[in-house]
Amino acid sequence: MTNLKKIAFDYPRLKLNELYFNQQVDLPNEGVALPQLREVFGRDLMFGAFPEDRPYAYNSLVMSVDGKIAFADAPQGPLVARNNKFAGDGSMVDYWILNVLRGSADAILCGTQSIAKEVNSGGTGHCYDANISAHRVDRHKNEIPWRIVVTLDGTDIAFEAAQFTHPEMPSFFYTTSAGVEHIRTHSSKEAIVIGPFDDVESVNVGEFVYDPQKSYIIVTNRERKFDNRMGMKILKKIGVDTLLVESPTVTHIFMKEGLMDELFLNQSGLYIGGDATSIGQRCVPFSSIVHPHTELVSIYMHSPHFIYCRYRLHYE
Amino acid sequence: MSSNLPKMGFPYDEMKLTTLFSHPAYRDGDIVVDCESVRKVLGEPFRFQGHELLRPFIYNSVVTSIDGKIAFLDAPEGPLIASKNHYDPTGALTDWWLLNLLRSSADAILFGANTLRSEPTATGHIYDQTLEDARIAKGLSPVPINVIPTLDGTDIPFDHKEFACGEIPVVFYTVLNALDRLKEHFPDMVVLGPYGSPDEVTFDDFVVDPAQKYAMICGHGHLPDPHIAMRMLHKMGIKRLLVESPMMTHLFLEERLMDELFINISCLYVGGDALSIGKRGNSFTSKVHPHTELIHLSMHSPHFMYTRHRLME
Repeated sequence: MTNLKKIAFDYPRLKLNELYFNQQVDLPNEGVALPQLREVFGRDLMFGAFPEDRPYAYNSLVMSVDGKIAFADAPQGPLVARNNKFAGDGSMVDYWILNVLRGSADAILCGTQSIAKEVNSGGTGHCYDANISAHRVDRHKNEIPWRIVVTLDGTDIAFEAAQFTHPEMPSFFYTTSAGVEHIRTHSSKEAIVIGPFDDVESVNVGEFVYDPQKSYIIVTNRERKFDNRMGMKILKKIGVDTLLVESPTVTHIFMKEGLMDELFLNQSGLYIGGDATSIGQRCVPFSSIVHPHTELVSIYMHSPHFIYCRYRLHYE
Repeated sequence: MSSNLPKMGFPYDEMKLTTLFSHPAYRDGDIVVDCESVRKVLGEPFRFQGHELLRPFIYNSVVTSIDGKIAFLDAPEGPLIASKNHYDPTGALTDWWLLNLLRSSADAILFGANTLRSEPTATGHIYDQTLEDARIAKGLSPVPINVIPTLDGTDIPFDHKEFACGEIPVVFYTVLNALDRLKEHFPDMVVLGPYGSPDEVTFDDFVVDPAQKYAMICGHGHLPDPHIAMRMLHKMGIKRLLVESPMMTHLFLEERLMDELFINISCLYVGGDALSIGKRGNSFTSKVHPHTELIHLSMHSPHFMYTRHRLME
């Protein structure tokens, strides 16, 4: 086991009340199956069928009752949970669910802003639940999910963050040809470049074997813009079956491209209003003609001040 | 006596909701609307907590996407968030019926002039005859008083059916600046106020004439004082006020005047910079923000759910 920080979660205090579970949704694949999950949720975390050409992608977000994911005066996402003074352990459940989803993922996509915030905090965005981490090892998965930083050209990456300086953290980048040299120059580990390929069908990474002493630069496009179909195919080919998307902007972009499978949206019982941040706020919204539909998979409640919704996506 | 305003039929049996959560403290509220259609859809009479406030009990009604958007950018009519949910058209119809139920529960409804401009034929009445009848049986007028905020009267479409039909009691929620313009169109309008504070509001035994127009002058400034306005409505006998304007909902939250939020969730995603509640207002801070408590949650299908929250003290 690694020496990365762990938190002892008090599972009995996290116990949730299942308000709804959609029995019609087929969930054949294990996400995390552990007694601790059964204690909190009353069941294991299971996922739908995995696509053949990309990872099964899901997000994790906490929002206010009006859909805001951050306060304008304090943009750290967790405050929408933590500053709910009536929530009790409900905000800790939100954080634990994030850890469950990290623990269920082969890889985690995160934005460079998250990395920048970790320069001061020293955080590393891994799974902090020791039981789930140990279970990953039992299942012959990497103890630490690969954390993949999304960057167009590499210049917005804070390479001094613990994500890159901590020897036990995997180092992955999701970029374009414009980012390769900058990342290669600044990465403390020897960089292996994967891609770009001519098209999605020609993606071929051979027998990929992960080496923790190396960093990996996934090049999704020869042009200075992401080709996410290509990028997701590369991820699938290097062994990523499950992908947690922690960036709200990437979540939005992936929905535009029909690449998200599920949304985990926890609702903290508070109201923010105004022009505070919501999902994909800097992106073009969906239109009244074309927009993704969703179907509730489950709703859990810790108290009437915190509920936890899970949706499956349907694209037209 | 029923109104002659347009009505429509609703397929109550198909609209039946499943209750997923009901807060124990709210199961014994006062029955406000009770009729066969309500029992078919909700499974029980519709209730509100009684109150001793010196203002109306105030609640809203809004339908949002799962990410809190209340309108598409390319088509800003609010109902489209519900009706463009292709997986549950009956859930969308139930959203519209619930708005009618909330209107039926209210002595007055407040909506913006924007709504009148964008919906030239729609009026603020109850479109379900059974709900109107249930309201009348409770001793309420067939049509709730329509309260329309305006700063200077220039945003009011005076030729709207709302004003010409003679069946809708209209109260403008305004300031002195608007008075001349309003009187140009309604020379016989009854003017209430101005009052300088809620405690100065003195009129009692007010009987609303549905054919009449009223102007509440809420304070002496350029912006209406909502606390004076709510005391005036209280003195007019308004026990419950439905706020249909998302912007006014936000402003009332800032003034700690909202008591409940009814937020129906249409399971689609909009994202981006599309409209959300109170988008043009100042957002609450990480230090000071209203907290809510879920008091009821129901669903029509996994594609449409209906939440009811109370605001915490």
